[in-house]
Amino acid sequence: MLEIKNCCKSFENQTVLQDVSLTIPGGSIIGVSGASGIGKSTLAKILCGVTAPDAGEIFLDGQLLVSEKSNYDRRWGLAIQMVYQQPYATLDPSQKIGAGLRELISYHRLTKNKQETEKLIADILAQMQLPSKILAHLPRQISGGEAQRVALARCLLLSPKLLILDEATSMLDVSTQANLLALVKAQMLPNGGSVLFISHDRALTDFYCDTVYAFDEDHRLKEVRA
Amino acid sequence: MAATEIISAFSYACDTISAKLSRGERVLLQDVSFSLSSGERLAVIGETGSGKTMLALSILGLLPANVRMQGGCIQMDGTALPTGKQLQTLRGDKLVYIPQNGAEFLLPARTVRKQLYDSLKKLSLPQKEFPQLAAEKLRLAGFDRPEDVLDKYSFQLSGGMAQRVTIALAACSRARLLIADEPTNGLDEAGRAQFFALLDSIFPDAAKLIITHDISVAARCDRVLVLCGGQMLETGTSAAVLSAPRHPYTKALLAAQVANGMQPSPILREGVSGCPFYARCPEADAGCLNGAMQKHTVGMSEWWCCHA
Repeated sequence: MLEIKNCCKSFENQTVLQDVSLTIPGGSIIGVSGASGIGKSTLAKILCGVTAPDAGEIFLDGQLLVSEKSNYDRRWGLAIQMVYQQPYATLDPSQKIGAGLRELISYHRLTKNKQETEKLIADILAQMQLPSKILAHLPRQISGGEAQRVALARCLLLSPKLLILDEATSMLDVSTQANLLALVKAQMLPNGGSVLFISHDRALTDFYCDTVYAFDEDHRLKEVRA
Repeated sequence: MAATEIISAFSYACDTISAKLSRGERVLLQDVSFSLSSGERLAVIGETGSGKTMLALSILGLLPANVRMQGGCIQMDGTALPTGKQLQTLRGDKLVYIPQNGAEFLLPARTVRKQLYDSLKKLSLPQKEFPQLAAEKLRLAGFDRPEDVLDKYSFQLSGGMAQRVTIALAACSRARLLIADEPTNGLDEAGRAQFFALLDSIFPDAAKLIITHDISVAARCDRVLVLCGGQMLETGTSAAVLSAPRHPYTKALLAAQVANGMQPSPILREGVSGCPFYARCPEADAGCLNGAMQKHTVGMSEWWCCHA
């Protein structure tokens, strides 16, 4: 469970988040929608520790993640992972998909030896419905939908408690979008994980999410559909 | 449109378009054929990588260097389209292309005025009419005060304005065929309706080929062509295809819309059959692996499938 309490953020004189409070229970999909530039991505960036809030506190499973007084807890923050909008910008253009996955696994010491690593990679590819030949490809050689599933696989390897999708499907066509979102649901919810789904597409958030919040003109977050 | 008025303005048929890659060849489009009458709108729908853009580029003669058309013919008014320099004189005159992202397509180093004049030069009109014509074309594209835009560079325009400038550029032509590649990406419902009204008012007589993956855009067209993996899987009037799709792939595309419950179409089985949708087809059976694609026809609708 993630709790955001009275979070504020402004850039110079521009207020982006005004007293934002939000609770994301485990096993739920929460949608955040609103016009572009309203603060949706800033909220996501604060949750990932990319920017710091000006005021407020964020708790993950009751443990403090970040507040205005204490820095972002990097180790605890690994339980929050994010899939970005641009699938190709997430992946190193000069690194093959397989090499990228192996680097991630060894960096976070997810496995003890080579066999375990290869098995973990094979498992995650099967879950993502990706062919194993993709490991030998560079990011520019795979399609946008595949790249987005690779990005999702990299997040899921760290077994996150919260997965953030920041406009993650807006570059994809409708059938690819449907496939990706069904995968996210199947991978996150059964283990008690939750999803924060950020999109400007109200019809899509209404359909996909349990609860939908929207930013109003004063940059406050309001529940718009339970 | 009365039946006698239909003239075959344009027809397209190709055996194969294949790309030469570093390790052998890959077929990008196979046995695609259609014809378009003047004033008619044809939507080409399909997922990413289904060959929609290759189709457009092959008509315009702008295929990338490693891609070639191996057979078939493209005809306009009953005669084959020329190649090389002669085709170049048709582009921007009889054949007009509206790109997906107007802002990236405009030349950053030339003002809107200069780019409009460049396009007008192709029409061999007297040069002293250019200022008036340019303003008129911009007004057609929805700019109430053309003089505000004329001396701007593309990076000074917003995304929507840049898109309208590309439409104004397209209007500097005697278009017989208009090709628009995902023209309404990033526009909302009202924007889409406006775009189509604009196309109809500027190009009433041109045949229009609209490339899209948005079903609501396809619904505004007269006919639909469904592409998957470079093959035609279904074609017919958009009312028929979109309300009663025959091919499982078309059904999957429609079911993936948010309004229809966003159903996924995951990979169900291994193997390759004649049908590019075989691995994900919920209706396929063992017979599909050996069966060839068969053409089915009901009324105006045609579809190609490997099972009954």
